[in-house]
Amino acid sequence: MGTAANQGRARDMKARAIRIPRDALILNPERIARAVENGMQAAAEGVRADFYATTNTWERGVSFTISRPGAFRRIIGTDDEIWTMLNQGTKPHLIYPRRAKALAFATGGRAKTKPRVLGSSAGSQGSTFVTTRGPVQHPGTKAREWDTTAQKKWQQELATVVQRSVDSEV
Amino acid sequence: MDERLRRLIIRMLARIGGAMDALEAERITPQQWAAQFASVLAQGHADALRAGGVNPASPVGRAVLTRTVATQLHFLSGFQAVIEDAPQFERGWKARAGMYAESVGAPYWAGRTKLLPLPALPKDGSTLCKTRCGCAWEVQQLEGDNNYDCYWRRGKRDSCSTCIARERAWAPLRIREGRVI
Repeated sequence: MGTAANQGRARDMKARAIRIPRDALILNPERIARAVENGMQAAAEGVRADFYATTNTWERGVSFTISRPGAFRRIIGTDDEIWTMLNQGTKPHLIYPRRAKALAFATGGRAKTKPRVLGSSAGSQGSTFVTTRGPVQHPGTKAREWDTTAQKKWQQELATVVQRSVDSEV
Repeated sequence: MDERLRRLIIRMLARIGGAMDALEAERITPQQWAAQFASVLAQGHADALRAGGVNPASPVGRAVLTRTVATQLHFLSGFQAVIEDAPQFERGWKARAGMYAESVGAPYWAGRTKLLPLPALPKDGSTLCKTRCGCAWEVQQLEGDNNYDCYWRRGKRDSCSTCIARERAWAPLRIREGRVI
């Protein structure tokens, strides 16, 4: 399983044993396969819900999809540019007025999201308004790293989720 | 919170409280406390699984119990190390011990959800509110073989981001012919 940005890291995760009851399942590969598929899909649903949690307080709707590129594989992704930008972060950069003659922005606000937290809060816009004609040095945006955070969390949960699927087949 | 689960947690809190009082009064050693605590956990998880509708002595019941209790024993060994290293009893330990009572939610919900292949269970620690989660699964069995609609229902006092998102995303989570779709 992977998120769109970092499927490669899954290889670094330590495996945890899953117990398959000898009498009930070991000679039934179809049911074992269904259990693993169910576990993968359930874990993917968990990742997707965690991604939704990062946008709970956003005014704009963001949707996430689960795709199945092959057996026992899932990719959870979005085409939302803002979510992707926050997830990856930005470097410091200059901002120029483009359509207007000056830039206007508020300072002292609080972001709705934090790095490596799969959730979102109300945030605040800030109360000190600044207007300037010249370019402004934006300090950049700290990467939220939601994809790696969710992957780390659900790689740990995966064994439990798959085991639950195996249990459901007994 | 589910009333039956609430009663199970209260009973667990009383048993855990007894063990902590004995430790504080130095009637038992930390090693004896750990053994007593482990026994309370095992009994509590078995009671919870039974209350959820699964026989703890059945093969699948034993498998579920082995895992849920083992998870808690892993945490307990860390707690025991802290206690053994401390010069005296600390007040915060009672609150820490009390959190173990909430862990009976995992076997309880495993039973209540008919051991369906669900992504998560309330109180399993996968939400931002961790074991304090007061949410519930509502499972509706549909016509046909192994068809279910499963709704994550948020508790009245649950406002953590994960629970809000799950309520929205899993409304319902569909299982058709035994497959999560």
